[in-house]
Amino acid sequence: MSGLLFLVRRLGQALLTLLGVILLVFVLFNWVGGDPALILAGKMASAQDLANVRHQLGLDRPLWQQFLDFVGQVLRGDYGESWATHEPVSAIFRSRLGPSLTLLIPMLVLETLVAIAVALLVAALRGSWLDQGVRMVSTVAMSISLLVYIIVGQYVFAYLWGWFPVKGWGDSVLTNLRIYALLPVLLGLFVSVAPSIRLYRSFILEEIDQDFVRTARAKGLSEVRILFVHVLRNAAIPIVTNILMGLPGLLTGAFLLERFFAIPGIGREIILAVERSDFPLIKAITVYVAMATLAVNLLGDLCYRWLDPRVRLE
Amino acid sequence: MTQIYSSRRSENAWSLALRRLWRDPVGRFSLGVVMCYLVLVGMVLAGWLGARWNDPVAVNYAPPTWCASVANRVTLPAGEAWDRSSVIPLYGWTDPLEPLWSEARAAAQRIQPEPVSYRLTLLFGADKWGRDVGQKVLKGTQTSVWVGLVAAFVATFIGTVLGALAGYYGRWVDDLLNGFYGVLTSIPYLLLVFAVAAVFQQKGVGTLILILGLTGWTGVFRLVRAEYLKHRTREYVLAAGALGASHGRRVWVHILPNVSHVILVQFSQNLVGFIKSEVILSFLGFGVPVSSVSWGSMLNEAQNELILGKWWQLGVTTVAMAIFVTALSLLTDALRDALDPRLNS
Amino acid sequence: MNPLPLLEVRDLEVAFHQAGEIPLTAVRGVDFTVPPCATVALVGESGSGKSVTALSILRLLPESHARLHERSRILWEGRNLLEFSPQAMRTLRRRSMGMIFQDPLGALNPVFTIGMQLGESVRRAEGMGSARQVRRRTLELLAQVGIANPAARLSAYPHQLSGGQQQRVMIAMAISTHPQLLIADEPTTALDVTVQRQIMTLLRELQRELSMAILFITHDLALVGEIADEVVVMRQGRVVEQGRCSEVLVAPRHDYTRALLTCRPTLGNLPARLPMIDDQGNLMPARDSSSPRTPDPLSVALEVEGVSKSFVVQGSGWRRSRFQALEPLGFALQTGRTLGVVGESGSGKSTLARMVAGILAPDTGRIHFPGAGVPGRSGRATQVQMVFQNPFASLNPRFTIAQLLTEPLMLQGLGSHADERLALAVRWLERVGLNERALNRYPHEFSGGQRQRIAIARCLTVNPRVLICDESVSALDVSVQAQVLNLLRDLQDELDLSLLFISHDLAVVRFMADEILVLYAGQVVERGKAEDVYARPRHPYTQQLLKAIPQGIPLSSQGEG
Repeated sequence: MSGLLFLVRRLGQALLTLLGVILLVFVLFNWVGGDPALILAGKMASAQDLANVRHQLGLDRPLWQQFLDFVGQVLRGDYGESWATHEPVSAIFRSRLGPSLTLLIPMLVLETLVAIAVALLVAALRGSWLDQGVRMVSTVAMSISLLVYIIVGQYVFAYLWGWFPVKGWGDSVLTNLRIYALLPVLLGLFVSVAPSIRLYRSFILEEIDQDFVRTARAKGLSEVRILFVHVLRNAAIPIVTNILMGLPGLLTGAFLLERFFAIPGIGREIILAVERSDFPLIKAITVYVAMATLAVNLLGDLCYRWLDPRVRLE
Repeated sequence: MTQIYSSRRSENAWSLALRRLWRDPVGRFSLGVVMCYLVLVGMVLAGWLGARWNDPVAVNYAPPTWCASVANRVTLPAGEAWDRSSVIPLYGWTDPLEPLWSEARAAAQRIQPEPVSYRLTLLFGADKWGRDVGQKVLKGTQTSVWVGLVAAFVATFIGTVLGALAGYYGRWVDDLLNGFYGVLTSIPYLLLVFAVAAVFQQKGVGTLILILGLTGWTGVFRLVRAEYLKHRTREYVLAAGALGASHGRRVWVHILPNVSHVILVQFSQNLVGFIKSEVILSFLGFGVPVSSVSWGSMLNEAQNELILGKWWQLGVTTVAMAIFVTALSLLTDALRDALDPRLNS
Repeated sequence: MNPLPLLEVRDLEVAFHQAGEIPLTAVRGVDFTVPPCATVALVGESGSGKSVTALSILRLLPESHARLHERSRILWEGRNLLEFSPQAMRTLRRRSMGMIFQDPLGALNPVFTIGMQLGESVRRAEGMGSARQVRRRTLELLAQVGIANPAARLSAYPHQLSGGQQQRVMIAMAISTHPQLLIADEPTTALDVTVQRQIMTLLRELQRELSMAILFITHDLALVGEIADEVVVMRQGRVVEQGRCSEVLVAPRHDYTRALLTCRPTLGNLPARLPMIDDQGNLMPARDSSSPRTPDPLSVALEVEGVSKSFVVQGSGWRRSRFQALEPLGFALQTGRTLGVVGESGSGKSTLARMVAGILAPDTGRIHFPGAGVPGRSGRATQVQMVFQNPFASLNPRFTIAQLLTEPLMLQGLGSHADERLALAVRWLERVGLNERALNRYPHEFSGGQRQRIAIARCLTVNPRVLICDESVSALDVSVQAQVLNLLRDLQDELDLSLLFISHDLAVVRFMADEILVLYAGQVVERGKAEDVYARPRHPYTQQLLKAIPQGIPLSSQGEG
């Protein structure tokens, strides 16, 4: 299949999925979620108040019309006002994206580098004490809740020893990176690197057991060349795909860090929104993040095709 | 033609796998630990353990015994709290409530023949209200593990049924279910959980199970679907079809036992994941209600205690959770190895 | 003969240690010698330890659990290579040895081009620096192994080549080093018989050109005669017999070697039953056929009319193109007779089998069982059953033998209660040479041949009139194959079964079939009585197929070596 046709086809699929997401969000918040007027108008509201609120939100109209309204909102990128702060929702989203990315990009880059390096090392030394040790340590490390790392890390390194600010956020990206994001990034790295090492190790081991590695040995290639050229190039296919697919999860995955360190990012906003039952904000963030996921998945598929000649040239 | 059978007793794949698991020291150990926890959960559910977690039995923030050198307990004299009549002068009037008071005093004497005693230290320390952290962690373990278990059952069941249908029947069934899977997985897991949590307005263990179970089946679905896709063209399934087995029989009687190892491993992976999610949700206050206690809500309290230097609730909760989750992860790995079908021939 | 042999294997003993398992000794005390420029064949059935022996020469066994006994020595030009440093071993592999494997697609790295992988070997072997030199040498090698238009192939990926071409690339890689020894581990087993013929010819030519020694590992004694000077026969990790090909193949001293030679049906020799090997490796002479078959010529068991099938393949864009797996064809199968269907991979023979068995629905035409009017024979299942290729995959591993055999009875409503069904199952089990002790066991406890017999018993429980055998003996060792073939013929005589016997192996089909259908790329290219087709093939493809069959005749000229 030619690349362009593949792209068009996958785009169509992604749009269909997005429609599904919109429908799911609509069903959750406009149908399962009960009557938002009860939340908005407060507990003391009269029947008249409730009816007013419903009318204001368009909830007295038929469901299909409400759904079309929602689709329209998504298309325009205008999700109305937050119920809690009455700011436009899309403005909130835009302003929270920067801090989140400031935190996430360094975390992702560091994590990928560290994880691949360690995974290659332990895979090459499979069965050695180092391999066993890393496996054991990462299993135990993964079983402790990430909450504990954040609580203890913040307490010890920031509160007790004063190496980092306890919390806060500045205006300049550089200041943030240098001062405020440092501890959260290190903690996030520590938490997320263990599962990645395990996963990448298994990807690499899978390739090491393939017949072509035996051929490479029979050819008299050095173990270093076998590992870094023959094995790594094959293992790169699942590793790259995995990194790309994991990107959107990071966007929300750092919400605990953002909450603890008072970083005004998307994750913290989600928690606030759930606490305040701020439906428009949750809906908007869900749809935005789903869009990002679909875009990244598409990119992942393209990468996969590009990396794997068996798929590309089929 | 002479026949050679292996001399040992005939075994099915499961008992073989169990034997392999038992031969692996790590597998044996982790299985033992997980079983201990499950027995513990059962005993707490039955009310034999941890039933009094909500009683204040010690002074506020009583430290763990082994790191405190203070005398062990304060004792309050008996009945002191009830001696109202000596405090308020009555100027000749009769207290209209006097009959009730004397009744209450009598009852108090009956119920509390011994003096109320508050311990100064406890084995695992006490929290802000003087509740025993040891008791709390028992109850909290029960809540967290129970939520994880039931949610994992729900998720595994949904994932297995839908995955089997999609993988076996293919065509529009697969398109539909796979489309649904695509929709759910295009929303990051925790965001989805939050969205559903926001929608369900009431808190509680049941809601928590529902949220986790309804959102967490996608992993099982993906793997079970892939297995069914692979198995539906295997020769044993084709042979069953040629011998007249219906589609339903092929799906549930023939293929299901052959993919059950995948399902079991997924179940235990889900269990780990759900326990971690429960902890985060309860920590943020979207999980168990205040009237209950779980590892997450304990960590939430522990966060504020730590700043005061009261680390024991954090420590005990972390250790309790780490032991269980480590054992479960190791067991999952050992199970995966023991159930590997490549080893069966 | 050269006084110093190229390679000597002395008292080789290899054991595999798995954590928590009893060590498994795969090779015990193997001795043999490879003289320079000679071809030595290592022959054995599965589990004979022949591949383990080959890999231990290159020291490619997984070090984590394969252990060589300390007595064992492998001498390369007189020096024990088991004592070489890893560096020295790499140099030896790079300069002096080459190896090709059974599965060429798996053995090539899927993400690199042919040019890169071959160039890598060339650069290392000859220490050539300039890209142009490497490219020239690479093209030269590709041409040498008979790849047409080599320049265009340089940028191809392994999956874009056919199986035969992949194996040629592997050979090119192995000879790029001008090796003194080429180890070929079942190099043609995964290939079609016509391609096998080409690869064998190529290997023979290359040996003469490059004057290298070849260690040729195979399960097929017939191939040995075509290439080897000397032969080493292995069984269960030991050497049973060795010597010059011209002697061993013509006058084998050991029973097992004799059995390997006679168990396999050949075109020239058509007994009613084949000789077999017992579990001790002794030859059991063929029984005489109990009674000559007297089929009723009027009764037709299976009629196939104008049946065709195409599959949807993901084409470019939205349009899904169709691939015609089978052009419309028809035939009739008489009761008690055997129709052999011959074809290579992709010929559509399995598609045909699956349509007759009712697993696939044909696009056009109809499949008809004239006996279906008989009461109690309503469903397709009681008309036709199928024995699959792989006995390890066709029995549900989670079912006991009792469950496997009684399930069809239950599904077809045969036998009024469980005990009766179990009794029926035992009867069939005994009929295929097993007994009721097998009932509560699981398939994995049986050998391949036993499993295939269980699979046959399962088919027979529902009393079908037609039995389809789709490559049913292809995965079995020669000795086991003879058992199953004999059993099928016994059953056919006894039950008046009609067989649709499908195989790529022309000799086996000749042994079984009364009539022959030759399929090529979904089309019938030739059909007729078996003896006519084999004696006077009309279609060029059939002629080519017949010519490609290894004859098992030792080389007439033994000049080199």
